[in-house]
Amino acid sequence: MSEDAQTEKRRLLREKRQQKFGNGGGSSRLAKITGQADNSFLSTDSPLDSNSTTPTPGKETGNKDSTQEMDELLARVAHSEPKNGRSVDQNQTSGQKNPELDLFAQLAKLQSGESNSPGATPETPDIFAQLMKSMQTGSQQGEQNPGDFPFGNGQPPIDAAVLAAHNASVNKLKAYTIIVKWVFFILPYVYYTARSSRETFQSSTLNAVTDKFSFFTIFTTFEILTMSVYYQLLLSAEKSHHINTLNSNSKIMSLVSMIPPGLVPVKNLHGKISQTLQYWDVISMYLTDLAFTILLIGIFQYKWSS
Amino acid sequence: MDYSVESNLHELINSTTHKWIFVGGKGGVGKTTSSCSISIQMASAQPNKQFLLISTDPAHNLSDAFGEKFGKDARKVTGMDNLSCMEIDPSAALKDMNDMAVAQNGSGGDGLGDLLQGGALADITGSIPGIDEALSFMEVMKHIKRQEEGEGEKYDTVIFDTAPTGHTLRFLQLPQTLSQLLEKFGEIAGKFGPMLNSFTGGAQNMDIMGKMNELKANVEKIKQQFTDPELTTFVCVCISEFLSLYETERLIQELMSYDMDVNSIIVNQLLFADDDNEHNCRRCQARWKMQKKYLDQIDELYEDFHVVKMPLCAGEIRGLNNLRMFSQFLSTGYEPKTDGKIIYELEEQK
Repeated sequence: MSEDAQTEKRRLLREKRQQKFGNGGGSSRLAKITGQADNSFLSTDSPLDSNSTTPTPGKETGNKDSTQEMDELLARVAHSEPKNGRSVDQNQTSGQKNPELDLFAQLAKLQSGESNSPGATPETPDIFAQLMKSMQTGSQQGEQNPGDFPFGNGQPPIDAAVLAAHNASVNKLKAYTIIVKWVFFILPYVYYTARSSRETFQSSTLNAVTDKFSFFTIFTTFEILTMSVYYQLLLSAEKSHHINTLNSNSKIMSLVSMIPPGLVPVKNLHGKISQTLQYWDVISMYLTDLAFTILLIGIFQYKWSS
Repeated sequence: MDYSVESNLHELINSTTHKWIFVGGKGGVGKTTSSCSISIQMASAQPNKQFLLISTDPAHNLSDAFGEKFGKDARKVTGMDNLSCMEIDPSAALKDMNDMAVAQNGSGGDGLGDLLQGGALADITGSIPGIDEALSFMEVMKHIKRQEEGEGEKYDTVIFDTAPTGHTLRFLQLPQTLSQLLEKFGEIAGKFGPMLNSFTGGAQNMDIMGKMNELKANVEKIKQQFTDPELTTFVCVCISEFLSLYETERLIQELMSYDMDVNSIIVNQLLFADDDNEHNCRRCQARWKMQKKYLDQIDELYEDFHVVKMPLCAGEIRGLNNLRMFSQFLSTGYEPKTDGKIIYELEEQK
């Protein structure tokens, strides 16, 4: 057989093998092996199935296996009772016979954010606990909890291009919301309200929606409705783009993030400022609509009075 | 085209393309014997090429297998002109690094030089988990560099006698881990470049960056070579028992997830008791029955692999002659009826 034919044969056989191992084949092969032995406790989870992100020369990840092993070891040391019935803490107090165990227990506590370092409190956790926590939450999206480290607030690094695209779509959504509100509701509604005030005869239905008290109620109800719809759309956009900018999209938030915890005597300063900014966003939209309405009323009054 | 797969390693032994061959498996299955056998067969089949057998197992066995002492530098096997062996010794390599550091820092009489006196660096780094794999990897990089620069002995194929599975997988992860590490370092250096310049002086920083880029290029090259099936392959060694079969399957799946080629399995220590009427004890029969059960499964699971069934010999397979005798079965396959006598003919090593 020529060299080319041999190479081709090797390639085809390789593909054939890959097909057999792919699409869940790995797990079923392991299950077949473990099925041969009675009372086998070996795992049948295939590295091929679970490792779509395996650290490999061809695929991009970190050293997941060893990290997982370490996590499991730390979890075992931190939470399990040793076979002789004594806990890890008891081991610590019963003389320093197991310094390695003691070290692991300390690490486990640090990793779970339960640092018992002197001076560390939930409000002001020590730097190691904060670092460990920020490492743990580094790949997760989530809201800021009281005591969270402000520099590692669970936000994964966002690609600038993705953020720009997201911001563009949010701005577009805002623009459409304003157009729909102003053109299809506020403008006609203010027009009818302003006109009704100068007409002597009008239907009772029109009168019911254009008197001063009803106008404010209807306007506010409409604002609440549109604002809710807007926020729902905004949230779904954030979800689809995998970006959480609601908490940290402003310069104020980035400035607040730079204040070390404990410096200002306010608990969860980051979360509170974030919530305030969200309320401010809602109020500013409401005030903008109100200003537009007053402007329209002024224009119509001027037009009809002249 | 005929897609049948031969139950021997004839194709690999005569391969002219492979640069890296890894031999690995569970502990105690005969990895060293198998890697020595492959090396001997390859060196015999291709006398014009140079082969290097490197042991990356911290518990080295190469010297004992060949019956002669090998060290951290490659040395030719007595009786073979084109096969060299080396055992990577982490402590010796670290001692060298320590001495180099002392030589560089000690002349000025500063604190660092004093600190490193007495092998402090070797003591500290020697206890780092995975240091053996890292040093083995450094050897691979040195080898590539030497080949590019045309320095020293050139080797056409390097065969690795690896450590048990876990260590080997860590070794094979190193190119990826290093690549990621260097990428991160590059990013940080890019961001803090001006600051580094002001602290260390521009020339030194440029030197560090240059070395990092060179290292990164080498790592990338290794990554590419390790995932090229024409250049790199992995030979799994196992015995016909439940745990060994399970670990082999997991190893193969891990390697496939790394995009590494694996197409050969050596099943060692088989008794072939059916064809051995002369030495057919009850225990042998019982074990052979058990082995056959797993052999059937191996045949079924690995029909697209080169599965080589090797016999359990009556004596230890140590020394070049014994290894030569045993290794021939890798190329031709073992026939219990015709080759049965050979397993009793091994020379006794003193």
